[in-house]
Amino acid sequence: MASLQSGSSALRGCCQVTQTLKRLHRLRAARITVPVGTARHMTSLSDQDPATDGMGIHARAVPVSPSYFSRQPRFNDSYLLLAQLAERYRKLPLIPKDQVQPVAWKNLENFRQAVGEHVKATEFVKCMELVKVLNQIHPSLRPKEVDDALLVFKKAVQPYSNIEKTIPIDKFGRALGTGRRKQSVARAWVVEGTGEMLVNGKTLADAFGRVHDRESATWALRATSRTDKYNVWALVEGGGTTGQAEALTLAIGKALMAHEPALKPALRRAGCVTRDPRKVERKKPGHVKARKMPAWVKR
Amino acid sequence: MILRTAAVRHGHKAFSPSGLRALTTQTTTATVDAVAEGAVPTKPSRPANSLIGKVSRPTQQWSATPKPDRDTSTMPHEFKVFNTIQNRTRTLGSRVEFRHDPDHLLKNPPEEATLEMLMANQAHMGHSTALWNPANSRYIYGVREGIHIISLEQTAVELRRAARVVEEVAYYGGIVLFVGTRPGQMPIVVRAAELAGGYHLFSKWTPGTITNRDQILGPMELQIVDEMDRPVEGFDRHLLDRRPVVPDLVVCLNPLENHPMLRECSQENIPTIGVIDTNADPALVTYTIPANDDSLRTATVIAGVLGRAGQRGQERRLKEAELGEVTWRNPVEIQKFLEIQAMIKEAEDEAAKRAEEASQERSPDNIPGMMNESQLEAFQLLQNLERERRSGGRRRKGEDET
Amino acid sequence: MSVPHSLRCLLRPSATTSIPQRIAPITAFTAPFSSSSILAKNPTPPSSKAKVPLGSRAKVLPGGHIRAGKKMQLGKFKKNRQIDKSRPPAPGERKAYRKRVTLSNNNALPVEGLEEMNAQTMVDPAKVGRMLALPNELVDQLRAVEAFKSTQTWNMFRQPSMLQRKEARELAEKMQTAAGKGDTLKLVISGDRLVGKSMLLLQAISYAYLNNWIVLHIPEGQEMTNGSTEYAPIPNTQPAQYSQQAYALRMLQSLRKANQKLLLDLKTVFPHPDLVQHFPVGTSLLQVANAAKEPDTTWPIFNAILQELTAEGAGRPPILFSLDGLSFIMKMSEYRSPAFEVIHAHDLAIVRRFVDYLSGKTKLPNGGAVIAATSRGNSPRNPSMELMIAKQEANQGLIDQPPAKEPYNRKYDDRVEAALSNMEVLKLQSVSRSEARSLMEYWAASGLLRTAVDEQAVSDKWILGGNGNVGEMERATLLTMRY
Repeated sequence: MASLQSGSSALRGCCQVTQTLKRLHRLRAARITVPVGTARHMTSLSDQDPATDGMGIHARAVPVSPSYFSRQPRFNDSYLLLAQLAERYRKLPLIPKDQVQPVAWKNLENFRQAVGEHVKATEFVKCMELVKVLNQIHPSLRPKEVDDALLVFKKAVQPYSNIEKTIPIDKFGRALGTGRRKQSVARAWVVEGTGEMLVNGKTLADAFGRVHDRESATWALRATSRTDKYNVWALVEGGGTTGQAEALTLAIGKALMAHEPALKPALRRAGCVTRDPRKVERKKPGHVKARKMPAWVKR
Repeated sequence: MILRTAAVRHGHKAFSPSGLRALTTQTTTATVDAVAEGAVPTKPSRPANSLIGKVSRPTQQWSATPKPDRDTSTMPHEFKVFNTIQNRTRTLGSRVEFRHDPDHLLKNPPEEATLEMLMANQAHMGHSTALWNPANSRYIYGVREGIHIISLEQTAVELRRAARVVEEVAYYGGIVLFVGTRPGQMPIVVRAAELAGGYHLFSKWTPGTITNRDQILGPMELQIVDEMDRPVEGFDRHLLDRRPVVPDLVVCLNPLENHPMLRECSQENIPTIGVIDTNADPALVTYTIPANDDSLRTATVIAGVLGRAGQRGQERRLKEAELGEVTWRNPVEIQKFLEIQAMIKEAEDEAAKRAEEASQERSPDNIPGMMNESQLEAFQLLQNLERERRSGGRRRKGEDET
Repeated sequence: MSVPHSLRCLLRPSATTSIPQRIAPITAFTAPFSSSSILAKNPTPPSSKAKVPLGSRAKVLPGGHIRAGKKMQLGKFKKNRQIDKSRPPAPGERKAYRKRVTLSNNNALPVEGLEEMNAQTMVDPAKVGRMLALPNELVDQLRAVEAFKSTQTWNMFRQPSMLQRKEARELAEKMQTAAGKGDTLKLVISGDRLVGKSMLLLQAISYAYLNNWIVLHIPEGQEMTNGSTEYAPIPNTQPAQYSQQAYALRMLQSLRKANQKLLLDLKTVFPHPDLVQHFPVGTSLLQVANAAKEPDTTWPIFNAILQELTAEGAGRPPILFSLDGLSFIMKMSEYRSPAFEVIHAHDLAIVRRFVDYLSGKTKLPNGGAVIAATSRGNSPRNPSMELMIAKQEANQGLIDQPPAKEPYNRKYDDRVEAALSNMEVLKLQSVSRSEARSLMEYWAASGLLRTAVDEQAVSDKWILGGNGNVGEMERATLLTMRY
């Protein structure tokens, strides 16, 4: 029984061998002799000799990536490259993890979108470990190819490389802060003083009829108990009263931070640091307002 | 693969007094005394067996005082100094003749597998006798401790034959794919593919990569190379139109887990080489290599030998190409594309020539803006070719059979 | 002559109470069932025929069944309309309610140790920036001339008290010097909205009362000119002037209520033959003023009283003639002449008298003050008045440059410019921080401000109130429901 089976498989194997040989013969039949002198450096279709009808050209299609037959060739290639680099540069000194310049890496979703492949989470995690170790190499000793290899994993926008703009205090002791809210733009010059405030050349009461708006406008000063320490001269334009008042909050808050940077946490807690990004939603075609749809009519 | 901090550690050692001490001849007795006096902390006198002493543990042990940041600016200099010292002191001391390296086989694959090498790498270990596939009976040497022992003579023979196949396929410019999808086989297949100039697969085989390749491999990138494996330009249009390539030979280190792939290969008449253990069906693959497929070391040896064979084939091919002998013929679709390009060029040349002649003759019936006969002919030819190209996708399947 | 009066007596409601009935009396409702004899006498007859509502389309079928006519009903449920069957408010009641001034709040804490206002404290520099309580007597007098306004926050505190501001002391001093010299202080109080102009005027009136002055106060300039009182041309005047007898009666009534004691002491020096009633020389002025009971007969008495008060060399006290809402009397009035032409406000006799004093055309022989306060809240734009005030401010160095007259503006009024050509302007500024602080301490002591009054809090409110605008500070602190 066993011998029979083995015999049949051997027979089958023989058939397959013949097939392979046929295939090889097909390849072998193509042995073409080319004059030695015609070997060109960089072959291109355009410079071919018309007399040979393009028959002198030898061309075959091969995959670019050695991971061609896997589902994520790009990821595999970069992973193998990283592994190779880590092996090659394993002797370079590393900076302690907590002292490395922070980098915003792509997360799994970002990376999947960037390479267009469905990378598995576990494999990505392994890859990121390598990336982080390579990033630990001392920047002045890090080879360029490592930087290039890491570039794939960095986010396009690097928030850590943002340089914070500091508001200067001019020779008169003024700090100019700018704030925005809705459609309003406010500029506030804050100087040390006795606590007076003028908005567009008017007092606060004249500028804002609503008490709530006045409270909003002075909120940065009041939240930090600095009403009697600074004078404010402000210009506001655009938008309505609420927007103008809250733009002023932000402007004064920023200028105040220029005078006293230590107030930043307090001002952040008071909501005088972050710009409120909400704006009027645009009207859409087919809608009555931004989202309202026309009433359903039977006919 | 993980970068070690050895350099930094050793660098410190090199600078430390004890490290430098090795370079000097000075006596160190004085320094030892100084260390003994100053460095050894005096233990606080604590009453023995007192509860207070037990409760009030030294707080600095768990204190959360942050360690001061290491000054990283001096690192490059330190590294340079360390390397200098390392280079200078390399020749000093005793020499280790042989050091075990687990990656030795991977880094230096053998050209030929000897029986001893196969034995040493557990290639002979089969499965339990209960699990055997009787089709493998001719590869089995005997039974020992309840497992089958594979006949290494057979293995060596089959491996040599498979190496020959790989070498020849590489020689004729074929695409060799190394597959090993078990955990740990990744570096093995990557290394083999690197040697043989082939391709590797260490993750799951996507079913349909061959039989449904238009869908699955469609977006993958291809390039056109010439006989010296240099990329050729001018095939952009062809690359847009053509179908993805399939391997000409597949080497599978674990055929048991890759049944779908082997089936697809047999459907497409692609020869396969597989490592067949005593529990596997040898009919799954075209060329069997009877060996232990559960051992990574065996896999390293086998893949290494096959990779070396592929390397030899590639080298031979390139050498002959340099001498002007190309071992492969243009594939059908590329040949067709080249012919079409040539025809287009010819037609254009003809048209240009005629136009030139016509302008020289200044014939009265030559109306500007109207095509004359030859131009019309060339235009129609172009149109036909374009039509054929567009309908090519439908016809090509039939062409593959031939 | 007296017949029509007596007849009109019958038309008048018998009991005119100054305090209008605010709360409508509960109307007597009839119980559905009653055993009282009246109802028992006329019981509703048990109708054999079912009652059909009049005007409806319902039909009564034989057998007594009512088939309701078609009724259109909008909506599923009929609205249960609440019909107020109580008596509608009497004429003037709503206005009285609107104008009602509450001067005390029993829920507010009494403030201990508050100084009372008197003639000395008004001019004492040490009292600047202090809160001063108004004595009860003074409060009655001020109430009589309607110097308090409902818009002021008197109703929040236990006792009316005022902040003695720097400007108030200056004004009191000016009045003191003017009275001492026998001059007339001609002054216009200007300033931003809610800055306290009416309150300053109130302080001026208080000073006058505390120093036994005669006070003639027009609480609302608007009421003089908006056509709400009856008026009549005064014969033999060219151009015609118009008397407002009802308003004159009101002024006389408030005068005799507020300055009763003073009027009692003053005796007539002129015979007044044109009065209906005969008043021999030496009669008390109060007696003369008391004669005015009807609007019809008021005008000669009003004239006589003014003539007596401005009599020279008869030991008359100084007079304060004050008006709030200056811009209303610096324009064309709502009244029409017999030729149906608009009457200029200066042709109204009372206004004319005030304007003449303000412009210096006539003088108060015994000294005194003519003070007008502008109003910013509800007042017509008055380019001439604004121009003249700005000019005067520039003269006094309060502002840098007077505004130029707009060449193409036709709304300038020469009479107004003439009337305001010779006066002084008191530009009321916002309060200083120390004044604001004492004000806020008073609020806190009254229990209206629940936070500690320190530099920080004062500074907060001072900024919120538009750099120390008292009214705005009040709005931001007391009139929000926060504290």
